[in-house]
Amino acid sequence: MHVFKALPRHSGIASILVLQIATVVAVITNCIFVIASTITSAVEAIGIDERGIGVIQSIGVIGSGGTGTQANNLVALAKIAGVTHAAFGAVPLRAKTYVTLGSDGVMGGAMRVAVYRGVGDYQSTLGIELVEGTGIDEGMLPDATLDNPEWPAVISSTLRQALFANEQAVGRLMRAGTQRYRVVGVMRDVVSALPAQVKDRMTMLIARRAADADIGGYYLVRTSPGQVDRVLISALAKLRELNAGHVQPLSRSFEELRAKQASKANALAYALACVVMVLCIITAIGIGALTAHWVRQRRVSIGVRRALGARSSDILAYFLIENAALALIGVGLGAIAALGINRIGVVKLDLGPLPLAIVIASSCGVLLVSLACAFYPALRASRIAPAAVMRSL
Amino acid sequence: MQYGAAWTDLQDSNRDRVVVLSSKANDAIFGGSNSVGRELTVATKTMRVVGVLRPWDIAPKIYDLNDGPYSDPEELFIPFSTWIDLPQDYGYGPVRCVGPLSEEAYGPMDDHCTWVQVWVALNPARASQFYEKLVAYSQEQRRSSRYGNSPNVRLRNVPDWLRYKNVVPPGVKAQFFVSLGVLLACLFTVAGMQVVSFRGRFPELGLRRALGASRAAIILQLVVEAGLLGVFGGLLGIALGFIGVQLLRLSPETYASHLSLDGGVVAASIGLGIAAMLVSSLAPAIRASGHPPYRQMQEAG
Repeated sequence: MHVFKALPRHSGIASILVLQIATVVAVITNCIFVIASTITSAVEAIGIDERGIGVIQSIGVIGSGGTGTQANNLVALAKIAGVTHAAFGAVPLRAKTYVTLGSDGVMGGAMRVAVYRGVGDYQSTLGIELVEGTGIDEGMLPDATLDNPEWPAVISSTLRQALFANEQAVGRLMRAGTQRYRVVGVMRDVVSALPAQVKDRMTMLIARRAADADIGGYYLVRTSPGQVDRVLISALAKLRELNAGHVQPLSRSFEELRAKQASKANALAYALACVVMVLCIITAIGIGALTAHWVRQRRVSIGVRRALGARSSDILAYFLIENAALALIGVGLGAIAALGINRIGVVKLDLGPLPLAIVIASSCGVLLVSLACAFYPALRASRIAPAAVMRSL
Repeated sequence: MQYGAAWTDLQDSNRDRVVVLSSKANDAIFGGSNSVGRELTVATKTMRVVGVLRPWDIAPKIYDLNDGPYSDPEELFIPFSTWIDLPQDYGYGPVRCVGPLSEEAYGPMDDHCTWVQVWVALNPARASQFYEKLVAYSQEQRRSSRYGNSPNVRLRNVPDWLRYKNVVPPGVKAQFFVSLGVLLACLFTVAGMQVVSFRGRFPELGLRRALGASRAAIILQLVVEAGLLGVFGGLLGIALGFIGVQLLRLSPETYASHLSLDGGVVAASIGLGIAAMLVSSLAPAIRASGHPPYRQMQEAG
């Protein structure tokens, strides 16, 4: 095609353009990926009914002897007006306990599983959604003083798939070291971290009996919708009254906790959004300047071609096609580089895999920016009057 | 120390109830006055102040990374033996135990649990000797069947420890690579712009060549000019960078409050500005100097 015949003579500028676009695509794609995962993790469902959960942290103070017990606290909390369920246990997205879990069967290897351990009405307080089997009932819990008790467990759908695939899951035995767990139910994935990758969806919920002992940790209450803030005040007052030797450094709704956790990711996303914007502007200026220069250099040949019968739309198309061709090469190289960078990120920075949609979207975006920047110089080229060029020769 | 001194070894072994306050805690409790000898109640127990620190914020917090390497510094220090003497149910940090046990039945005081981070100050030359002693101890504990496994001793110095604990936040690493990418993109853009701008100066360059300037002189002229531009760009960049750092400090990340521009960063950014201009202008300058002077001067018309 005649369009490309001029390129070898301008290989310097052409290769600069290609490299510039490739770098920009590689950087922008990965930035957009992080921004997109921040946005998704801010709105992502985490497998529980988040609205209406209040969290109070209560910890024992040195030497206080402790007057309250976990069991009494739970009974008292459940009695507070507006509280529908009360529990003690791990706060979602804050489960810090992990076990390495294997099944009894041949399917699946050992999985690293986040454990949500709760006491009291834990499952109803979180609002988990069962998809198979049943929840854990107080009556199912074994005698904890037994030599090696078998604990009932509810596992996430993803963990179920990984351990048992298409086999029956309910009733199966799982082991974590010497600890034994029996699957009684499967729940919709309660995730352990955001943005939730597959490994963060491997979770297990287990229960314990309320202890007649003074134990510090997180108390959770479920309230009627919209009442969390009001109920938290009375729940906190109740816990203070019952546990003279405790301090309660944290009393928040779960939604607040999640928003606070998200704010760090948001800050990074804002910074990256600035980077994307700055890069787009730099690229736009660079491409615009190069194309304008190109047009200036070929003013004579444009004039000659016009004089020989080329229409002004031909000239416009000529420059746009040329730009699009170079930009396509750049975008292609950039997309490959972006995927390569993401592979490193997956290994080193615990990123998720880069979805193809984002690669395509950012590639198209840069392509459009490139064409838009080339458009004005190309339009000027198409308006060059052949007569004026001939005169100046 | 702002006031007083640290507790003595004797006070430590006597389990004296003494405390050293941070300057922030001293400001809050005693209004910043010399509080040495004053008493305060810490978790129901009366403790005597023996010292007050000057403002001290070590980042990363090498002595305890469990709460995050950039978290707020401790406000209150008490002797280990005093603290261990007090009944308590929290504050041990992560407890790890070996052997058959249920999830509840372990405590930090059990001989099969670890929970204390032990630090030693030692002569680096004798580190391997100390390491061997640790291995020997581990073997001895295994023989007495307190330890179940063969020795797996790690002895790390502070830099190794920080590396092992990954104190550089992943977000910061990611931002570093993003900056490298941006720098690369800028280099290509500048190279493109320089091609254009050198082209615009062909008449002048052609004239210099025609009057006897060598190719090297032309290249030198263009590159030195670019380097000067780099200096100005770097200075402007520092101004922008200052605003950027102020914005980053607004971030809720715990490390954000430790961000600042120091002399090293300022020098590095000017250096980087010059280097970037030199690198990206060299190839266009070589190219621009290679055209025959009469052709270059023709473009004047």
